[in-house]
Amino acid sequence: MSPALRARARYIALAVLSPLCLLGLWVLATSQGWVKSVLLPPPQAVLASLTDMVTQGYSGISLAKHLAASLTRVGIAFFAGALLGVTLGLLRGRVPAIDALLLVPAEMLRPIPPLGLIPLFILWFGIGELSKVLLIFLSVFLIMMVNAHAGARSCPADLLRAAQSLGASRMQVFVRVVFPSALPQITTGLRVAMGTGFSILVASELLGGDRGLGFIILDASNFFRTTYVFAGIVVIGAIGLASDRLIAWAGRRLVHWDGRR
Amino acid sequence: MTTWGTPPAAVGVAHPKPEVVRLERVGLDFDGRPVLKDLSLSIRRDEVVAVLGPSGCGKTTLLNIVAGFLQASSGVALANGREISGPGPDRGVVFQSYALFDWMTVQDNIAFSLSCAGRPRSEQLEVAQQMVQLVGLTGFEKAYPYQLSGGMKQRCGLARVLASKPSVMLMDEPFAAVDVQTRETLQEEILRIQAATGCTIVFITHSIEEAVFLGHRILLMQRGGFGAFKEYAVELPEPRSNPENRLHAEFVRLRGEVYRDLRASYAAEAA
Repeated sequence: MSPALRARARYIALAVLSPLCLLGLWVLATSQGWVKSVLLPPPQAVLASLTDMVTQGYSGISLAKHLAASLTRVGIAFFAGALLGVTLGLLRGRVPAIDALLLVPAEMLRPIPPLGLIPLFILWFGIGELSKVLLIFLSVFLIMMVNAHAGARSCPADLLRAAQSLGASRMQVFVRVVFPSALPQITTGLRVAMGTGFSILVASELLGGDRGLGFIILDASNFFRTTYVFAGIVVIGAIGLASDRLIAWAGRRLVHWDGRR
Repeated sequence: MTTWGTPPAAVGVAHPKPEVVRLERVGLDFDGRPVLKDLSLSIRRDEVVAVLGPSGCGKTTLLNIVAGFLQASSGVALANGREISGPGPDRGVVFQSYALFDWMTVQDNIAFSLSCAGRPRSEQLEVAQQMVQLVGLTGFEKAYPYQLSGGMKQRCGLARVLASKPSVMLMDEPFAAVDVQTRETLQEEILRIQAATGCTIVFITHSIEEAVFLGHRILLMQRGGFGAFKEYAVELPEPRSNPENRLHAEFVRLRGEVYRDLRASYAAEAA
């Protein structure tokens, strides 16, 4: 085995071992009675609830429908937020006037916790889909704008000069030089925004409705069905992990030059 | 071989070749401090002008004014008779940092100016292929810049500029980051390409050997001299790309002369 392959194998072994150890600790803590099972149910009970959710659904709605509702909300908000955030972030990085216009509103909005906005969003947009999607959109948008802005600022001056002296117009410089050179930071931003998107999803599903992964968690916790709370958390966690790995993988393929200069 | 720029003057006629770059009493202030004062310079077609001097002598500032990256604070800066108002493909720049686009293949880097100008893809590929052959990158058309060595990166940078057929190539210490053997090969390549294409070159360097080997003229600047320069004519046998020129008596003599003048300017600075 080559040293590179051995390092890779060790990496994968550790990455698999760490969740298994946590699971072992969980089994131990519950089977030894270190914690009350209503606070931390044993993994077998969570698995039983998860199986029940997969086969029977939750509150009369199949798990697939809960999943579809949540993924649609996150998907739309993520796509729209990333598109607008990247565009405005790149523009802020290159056009001082646009940066000046957006600086105060964006930076005042960013530290406000989305939960604090829920009452306002209910007043303004009701308790339907719009409120939920907008709440996630706002978080994704703000994260993506910061990352794209930083990416555009980090574009080396010589690259901009090279493009200009080769006859590129302002628009061509922006699309063909500023945007690709910001891609490493944009992909990092997408990973952060995706994680945040799922965490805001749970909060956004506080805004009424009868379906969604967040709804399952909130509804189950209202009725002290702790094993279903954990089952819901496991599903969101798994989707979060999968989407993060997908973006990271796609990012490495897209931004193949990153770290190799 | 390809030629470009203004059409050649009639053969055998005494009047000089057309002026590609003209600076008249150019001054530049940076944060209220003068960097260049009253600099006048004329560069004609086919010339290789080596600008030599220590860091802080204003040689890169001079290049940035011609490139259009900096605006002169006073005086007149002309390229092909027109006032320089910004960067443009008539004045190609080769950077010390290569400044290649990492997300594009060698071929697409080279075709960048043509694709910005909206030339058809077939023409882009054809010109890129010619330039790849000219600079010796055959077989690396589809490689990405990070897969190339330093010397090959600069060949790509050179081809990218040549593809836009500039009337003058501005080279800012382009070989400062490559090893000595590669640097000497690239110097010979530059002169071979210059002879083949008849392009005009302004070459910034802080190496005396490089200036003497490459330049038809050398401008020696000194630190704190605001761009004032001493000028030397280089009389070395053709073809200038012949590496034997490095051993020529005139090469050795002129290198010595420039070296003494440079030392004298340091001594004057220290006093």
